[in-house]
Amino acid sequence: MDMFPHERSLVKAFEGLPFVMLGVNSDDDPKLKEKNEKQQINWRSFKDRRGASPSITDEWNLEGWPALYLIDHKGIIRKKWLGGADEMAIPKEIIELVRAAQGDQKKER
Amino acid sequence: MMKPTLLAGAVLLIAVPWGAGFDDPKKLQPSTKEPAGLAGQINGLQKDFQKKQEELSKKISVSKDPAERSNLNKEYQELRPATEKQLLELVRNNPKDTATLKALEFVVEQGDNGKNAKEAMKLIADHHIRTAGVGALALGLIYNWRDEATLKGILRDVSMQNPNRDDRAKAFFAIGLKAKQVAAAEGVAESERNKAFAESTEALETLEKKYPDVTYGDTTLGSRAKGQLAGLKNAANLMVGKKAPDIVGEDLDGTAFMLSDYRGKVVYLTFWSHG
Repeated sequence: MDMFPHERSLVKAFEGLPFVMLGVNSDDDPKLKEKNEKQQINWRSFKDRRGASPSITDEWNLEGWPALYLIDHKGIIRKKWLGGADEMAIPKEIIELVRAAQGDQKKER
Repeated sequence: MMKPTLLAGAVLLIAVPWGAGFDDPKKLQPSTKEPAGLAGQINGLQKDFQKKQEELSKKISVSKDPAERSNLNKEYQELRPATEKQLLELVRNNPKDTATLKALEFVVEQGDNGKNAKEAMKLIADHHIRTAGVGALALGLIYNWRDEATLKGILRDVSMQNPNRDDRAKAFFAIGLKAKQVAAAEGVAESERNKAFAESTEALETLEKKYPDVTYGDTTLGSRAKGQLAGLKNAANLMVGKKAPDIVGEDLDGTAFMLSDYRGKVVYLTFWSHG
């Protein structure tokens, strides 16, 4: 399943809000930069491999793709989609969490 | 159902003496009497299956008549079960012969958990615990084989009884991964999770200590065990409602950063590659 167009549009849709898309990229490819430009990847990513340390995909028990986690502004996992994701359901979940984050921002002010 | 079985058998009988006799007529006589041994027969059936499957795929892709297509599709679907039956027949006559493991692998590898596959699994459990290659075979089944008890029994026995280090190591890896699935799943009772966690830890630590150098793809099982243990430690926190484990790493430009740098924002974390 190609999630790139969907994810690109999520980044744009939630611009300026307390929301960030982060990736964990497991390409070991010297041409990665060119490929990212071609696909217009617009989010920051960790390199999956970290030398002698376990990879991030290992630390996160990944068994397959797609693997998406939605983490709230306090660092709590609120949703995860492993092995399949309903693209239509994702924005709604994000909106709810962004609202909660905005609510807490207001309280702090 | 009988028709494809007979057909495949006929093709095999014709194909074997021809192939063997073409270059050296003197060899024709013995090879007609003893058609290539059990391993050869199994190999022949599998090759025959592949060839027919390819031919049918081609026919289906060019066929424009819906009725013909439907017949071809039916024929295509019957091809694998028919081959499985032929292979099982060969195995039943020589269940202990190590050459039959390849046939049994063909029958179970689709993971359809059907009647043929179940019979094949029982034959593996009864006769092939000590056969070379059974560790890799069982490891390949951990994500789709539903009869937990049979698979777990095979894995346990192979890990303890197989004379090959490679097979024992792969069985331990499979035990570790399988238990980890339970330890990492949402909605598992605490006691069951703890038991699975202990079982997975033990198997993966055994790999790290006793089988670290066994090769696995382009890496080693020692290295895979280390990675899996790292995930296992996080398993309880990778649940909905739990605090996400922090990630410390660097971005694609080499700049160090952490997941927790983004506290205060909702994070959509996606694992991805260009594939």
